Amino acid sequence: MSGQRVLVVDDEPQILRALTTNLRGAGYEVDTAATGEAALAAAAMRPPDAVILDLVLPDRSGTEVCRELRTWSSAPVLVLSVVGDEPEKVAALDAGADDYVEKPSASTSCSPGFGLFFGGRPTRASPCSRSGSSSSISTSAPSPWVAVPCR
Amino acid sequence: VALVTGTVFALKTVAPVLSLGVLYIFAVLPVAVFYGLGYALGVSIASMLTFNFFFLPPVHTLALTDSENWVALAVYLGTAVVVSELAALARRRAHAAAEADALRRSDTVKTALLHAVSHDLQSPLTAIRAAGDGLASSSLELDDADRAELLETIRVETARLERLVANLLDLSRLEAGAALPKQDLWPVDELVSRALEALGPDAARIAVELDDDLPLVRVDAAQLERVLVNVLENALRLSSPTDPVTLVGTSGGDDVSIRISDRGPGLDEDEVERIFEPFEHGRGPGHGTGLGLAIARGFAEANGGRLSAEARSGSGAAFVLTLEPAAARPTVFG
Repeated sequence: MSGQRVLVVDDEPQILRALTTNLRGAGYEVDTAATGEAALAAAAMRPPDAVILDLVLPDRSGTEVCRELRTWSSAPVLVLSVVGDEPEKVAALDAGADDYVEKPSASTSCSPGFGLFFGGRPTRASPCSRSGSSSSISTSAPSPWVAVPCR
Repeated sequence: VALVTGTVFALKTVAPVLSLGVLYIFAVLPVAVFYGLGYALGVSIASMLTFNFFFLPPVHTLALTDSENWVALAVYLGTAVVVSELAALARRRAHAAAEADALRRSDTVKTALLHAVSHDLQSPLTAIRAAGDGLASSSLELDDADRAELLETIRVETARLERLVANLLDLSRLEAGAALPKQDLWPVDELVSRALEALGPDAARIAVELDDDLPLVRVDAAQLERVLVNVLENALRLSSPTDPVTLVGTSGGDDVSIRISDRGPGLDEDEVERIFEPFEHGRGPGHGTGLGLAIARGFAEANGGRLSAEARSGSGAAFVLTLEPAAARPTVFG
């Protein structure tokens, strides 16, 4: 168990629920937020070791949240985006996000953040494989992806 | 042609008659613009003959004595043909541009549809996929409660996908005029119960108040259920989970009305009609399909009812479904 804290930000309650259950099952402590404001408040109250951030939030964009978070936190930020929203992805990366995962295949993406969703020991240096199987991703790295500071 | 001829008569004392012939262009031009080259050629020839008959020596005959007059007439006729052709060409171009514009608009609608559908498919699919992967993973430590949570996510989001697909089918049927209601007599409380049941656990957030003496309505129950479910889903999505959504059924005058109110962001005046357009997303959290209210209004109207929204910016939105009470009030439902 890593005992590290992940903040999951998404306004879709079922995505929030599934990711929370998986992350807890992987040994992370999980905080959740459904809006940008709630996310920033939660991050200020209990600084996360990593943030999973949906780009489309009801009150402000995930990119704005990321930019503001970056003014005082260096926790890695993994952005959840929908396929095709390339400009938003680029804007989020420019705003300080570390990586992105495309919906709907959030948990089987080739992103380095892949294992975070349900692998016990995801790593930023995970080899990318198109096999779609979780076992193809290295989970033996000593440092979980979430613990790697982004800057 | 007659008007121009009159004008030429009026002006021939102040200008050379030969140069006044050019005025016949004003007879040819509107005909060319509105009726095409064929009619314009006819008017050109009529103009030439009229000018010849009334103004060119020898007058009141169709004969010409001066070869310069022949040349002048040929120039007028040629000018008329060229102007006709140019006008007709402009009309064809305008027509082609209008067709291209219609195609572009149709493409815009298709793009909006694809964008809305792909976006609305991705959220439930993401949740289902994450839950399924979690359940399948051997590296996660999940207890029975966790597994039940993930299964519940799959169940809820699968139902949401089913509703999305049903909405798309409904919309295509409504647009094709194929949504013929199978109407029967129904008590309003039965229709409301069906809708609440279809909503699942979220129905617990809805406070229902129905008058005891509501008359029966003659509607297609499945379509009315879709109207209520879509409006209620919209209200639930736009409200905070702690705020109630209310459904109040009253009968007054000649109508039965069902009023659904929420405490979401509300609607501005300019939104109360626009919100019923397909792919129109209102304000507030969550991502609807942009189809639900369009379908709800379509089915309400197919059943002789009306669905309207009220602008109450800042204090939530209210949707009112108005139905005609059935004329007879049989007691078949007890």
